[in-house]
Amino acid sequence: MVKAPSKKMKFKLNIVILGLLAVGFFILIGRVIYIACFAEVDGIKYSVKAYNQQLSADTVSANRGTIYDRNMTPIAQSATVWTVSLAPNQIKDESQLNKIASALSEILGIDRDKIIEKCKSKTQYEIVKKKVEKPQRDQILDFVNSNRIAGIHMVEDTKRYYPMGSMAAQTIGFVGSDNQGLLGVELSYNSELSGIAGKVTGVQDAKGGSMPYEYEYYYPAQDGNSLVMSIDSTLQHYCDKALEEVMHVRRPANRCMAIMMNVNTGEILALSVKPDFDLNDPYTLPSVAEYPAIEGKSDGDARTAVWTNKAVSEIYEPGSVFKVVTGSAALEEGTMTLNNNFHCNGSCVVDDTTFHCWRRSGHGSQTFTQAYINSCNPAFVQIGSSLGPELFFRYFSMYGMTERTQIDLPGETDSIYVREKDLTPVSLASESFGQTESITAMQMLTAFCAVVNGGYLNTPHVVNQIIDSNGNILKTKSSNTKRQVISDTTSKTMVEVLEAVVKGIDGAGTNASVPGYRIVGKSGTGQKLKYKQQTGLDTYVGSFIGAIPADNPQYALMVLVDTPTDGTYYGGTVASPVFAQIMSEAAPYLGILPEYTAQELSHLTIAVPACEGLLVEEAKNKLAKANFTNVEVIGSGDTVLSQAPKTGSNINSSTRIILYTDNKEQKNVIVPNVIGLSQAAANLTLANSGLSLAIDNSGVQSQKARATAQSPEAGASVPRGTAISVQFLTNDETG
Amino acid sequence: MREKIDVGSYKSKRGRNVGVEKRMDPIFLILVFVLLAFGLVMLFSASFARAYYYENGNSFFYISRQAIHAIIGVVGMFIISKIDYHRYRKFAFPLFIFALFLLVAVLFMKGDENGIKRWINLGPIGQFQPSELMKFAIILLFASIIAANYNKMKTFSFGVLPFVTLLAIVIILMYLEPHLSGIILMCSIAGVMMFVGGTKPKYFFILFALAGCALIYIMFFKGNYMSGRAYYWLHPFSDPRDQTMQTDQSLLAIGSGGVFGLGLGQSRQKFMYLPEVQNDFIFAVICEELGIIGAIAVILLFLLLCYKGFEIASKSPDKFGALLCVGIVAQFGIQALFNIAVVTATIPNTGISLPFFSYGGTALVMQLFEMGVVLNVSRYSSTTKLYGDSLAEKKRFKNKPALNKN
Repeated sequence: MVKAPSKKMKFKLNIVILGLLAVGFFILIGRVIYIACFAEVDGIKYSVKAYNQQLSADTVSANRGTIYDRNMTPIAQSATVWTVSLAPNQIKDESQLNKIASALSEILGIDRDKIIEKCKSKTQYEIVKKKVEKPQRDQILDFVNSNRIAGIHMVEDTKRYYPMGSMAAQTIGFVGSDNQGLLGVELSYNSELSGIAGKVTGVQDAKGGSMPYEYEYYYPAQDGNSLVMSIDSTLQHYCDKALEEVMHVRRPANRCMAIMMNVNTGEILALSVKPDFDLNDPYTLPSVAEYPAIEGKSDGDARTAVWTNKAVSEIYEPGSVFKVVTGSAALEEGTMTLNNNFHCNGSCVVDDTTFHCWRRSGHGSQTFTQAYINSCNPAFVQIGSSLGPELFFRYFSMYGMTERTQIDLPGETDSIYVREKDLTPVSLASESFGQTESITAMQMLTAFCAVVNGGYLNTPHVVNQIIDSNGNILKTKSSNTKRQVISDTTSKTMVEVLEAVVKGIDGAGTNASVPGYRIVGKSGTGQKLKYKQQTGLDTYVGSFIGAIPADNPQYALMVLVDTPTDGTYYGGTVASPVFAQIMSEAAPYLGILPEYTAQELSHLTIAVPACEGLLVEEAKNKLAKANFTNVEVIGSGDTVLSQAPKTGSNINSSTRIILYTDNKEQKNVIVPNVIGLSQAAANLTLANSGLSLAIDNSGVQSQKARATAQSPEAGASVPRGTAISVQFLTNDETG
Repeated sequence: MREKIDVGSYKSKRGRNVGVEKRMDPIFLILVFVLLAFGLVMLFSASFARAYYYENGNSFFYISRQAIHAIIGVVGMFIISKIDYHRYRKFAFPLFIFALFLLVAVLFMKGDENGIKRWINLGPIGQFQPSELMKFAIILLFASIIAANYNKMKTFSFGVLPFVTLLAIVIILMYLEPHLSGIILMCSIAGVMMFVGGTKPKYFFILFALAGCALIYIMFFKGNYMSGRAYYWLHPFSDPRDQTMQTDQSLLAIGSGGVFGLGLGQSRQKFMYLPEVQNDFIFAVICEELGIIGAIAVILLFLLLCYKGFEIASKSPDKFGALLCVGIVAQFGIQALFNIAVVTATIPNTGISLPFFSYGGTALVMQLFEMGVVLNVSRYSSTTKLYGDSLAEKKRFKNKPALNKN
């Protein structure tokens, strides 16, 4: 018997079987080549799909850049937070699952059943909670380490904090849950801020920490750049504070705002819109009482309304402020001079359409400058018609009314106006005094700046610098002048005219004046024509734009109150005092020091020094030093026990100060009503009652100014000698 | 057991000294070491991340255990390579009975979370699959039966019936585990041995037809976990979160590798994505890290192992040795073929590991022992040269009295 393998066996083995194996193996080599090089799923190569899945699961967020104000105070910052996720397939057993569910629900405040559900899901990756902050993250880490738990993963992420809360909310903007800018510069500079995400391929955080480095492939994130804004938080604060008051007093139905701009560079120093929202909690909106325009709107529409930047995304009818455009164009083209005379009898007729002046009785005969001071509509109809449609439209466009300002903020809207070929004498007339056209506040402000800065129309901006994460400056915004609209000479003339507007005809000043400062400016009251067509209601936008100092305008401030509901509406009444209030604080901050005229000095108020506890003679000397000479002593004691007005009251130096030296009960008097009275009449009325007058806004000394508010109110019982603070305002379109 | 066992003489007709113990086949030995070393390197690369995850941060969990088993296996392999393979012949049947007993016993074990009962827990040594032992038992038993009945292999009652009967018992037990991949592997090995052993091809057609029908029935019509696998095999990426996840991630790993791969140790898919990365899907990591080049290298190594193994079988002094080699080597070849076919989604997903590469201590020890058997056969086959030392030769002759027993 042949024992060795037969030839047949060898053939079967080495040819057939080995052959079959070889064929099988070569088919598999073919498969590998196909999969490695050619296979696709849904048109995506496997290698790309693999890379994508690795990227999506292990992205390392780049640190979003910081947003600073111009003084490097952080406005928006990112802090590290963690995304807590579960890897259900790594959870070993039921008891671990229960432990995980209990611990996470307690630490993160999530329903326990929801976590159990996630633990049992068949996916590899279940997000439990995003934006988990450090204390909670540390608790989870402790839990993982002390219980040796697998399956909980924590990946770094960033969260945006806004230390200033609601400051310049619409301008700064905020980010969504994926750190994508949604509004303001967070949106317009998103690509600069966001940086480039990094990637970790490796088992990180299996035990709450990272794996040893050598087991990871770490492609570091490239941090985003930071922004240095032109916004100054102090100036912004002045604006915010003043607007809060406006919100309270005027109750505007459609928000109010203030914008401060560097006249020569277009830098925005402050942009305040009220009501606003907390950037740390942008989805909580102001109440309907604060913002009546959102009444009845869906949540989404209401949010849009609140988030919208009023300065660039809403248009309004500028009213008389626009007269700076018409007038400067006429002066530049020589169709008008300062010597022109205008006559106003309360209305004028153009092509059968009657235009009323705001003062129905008319302004009578007036010069070009007086036409501005009176804000006389018929005069400006005449000035506009002197230009004619072609020249009017040329300057209209040159002042940027037909184009966007190209400010570095998102959502800038287009203006609405009558094209040159459609300009009829009627539409020309109404556009001349700021009706019919609807423009953004930003357009109006940049045009105003061009009028007073020598004629240069600039591109406004809110970001001054882009710096990298190490503080190196990458880009500096220089002023970007689009064109010169009017000559320097015309601009200088306009500055003189507009200074007279604030000063008033007789140097008495208007509501916008600030003692010690020379101010140029113009108020405006836009009638909301479209709204009237829709509802039949008369509503107005009151605004004022001014600049200081008049000898060389540097800073412009625009205040706009949309649809006040307290009965007032003239820009000169609702907006000008706010301008004065903000500027009185902002000007010294900006390094522009007051220079008082003799007249202003006589009206200047002084804080009453503390005299209580002093000997009478000492008190008298102290008062005399502080310029108070009108002192009355009541009682026979040696020591001043109390005084009226109280320490710190701001009163005129001529006001009588009463020092009480007896412990007798002070005599109370009833406060009389002074509202509606002129300053002189109010002073007299109060003096007759044994009270003194403290003027709230000492800049306004116009003969036409009337008391509009007093504190304490009429009828209150106060100690004799108390200073009653009274606000005096003019209430018409003058200025 | 049959009494008349033909172990063959130590001299061929031509008087050549074929039965004398000689050196092991060096090329086969080198192939074994290359595969083992390659396997350990790739296992470490593939498993450290997973080990870190699951084994309390011990990245060396898998590789250290595998390395210890490799050392045990290599020592055992050398010892076994010295044990005359003819001695196994009388243990063929008892071993089969013992393996059968274990296969029954495993059915009474506590199964895994899916109720599958394949493992016997040996405590500190690890887990042991009785079907692994059964594979060797079947190889040994079939080799001895075929060697004894070689001349009658063409008949149905000798060439088919005994094998089918024995296999049927094993298949039924393994089906109860269930262990479909083990059944397929077992049948493939048995088929190769029967074919080489002389069973008539016509019977194979009948057996193939029967097996094919059973397979198709199980895979496509029976509503158990196997039928789902067939569907998802035909529809990759249809359920990437669950049913097709393994295959999908495996394909993505191979796709990521391209021609030259991402570099040794640079696999990304092994981090969290690719399940069973240290086990059935280690080939995907090889493709990802070493590219097509690495994949071809692995495949060629297995093909070479088969080629050399079959050569040793062809030149073995007797049919028993030849068939023993055929069975063992075919097992390695078929297992590699099936494993790579699964990883490349060429066939539906069944749990077949890659010899030398996949993690599994007892399996590796078993594999190396089997290699020892092949190496022992190579000592007698005519592929290797004689020992120069005649003294040693004589000593060997002395030590083998049992072989002369008729």
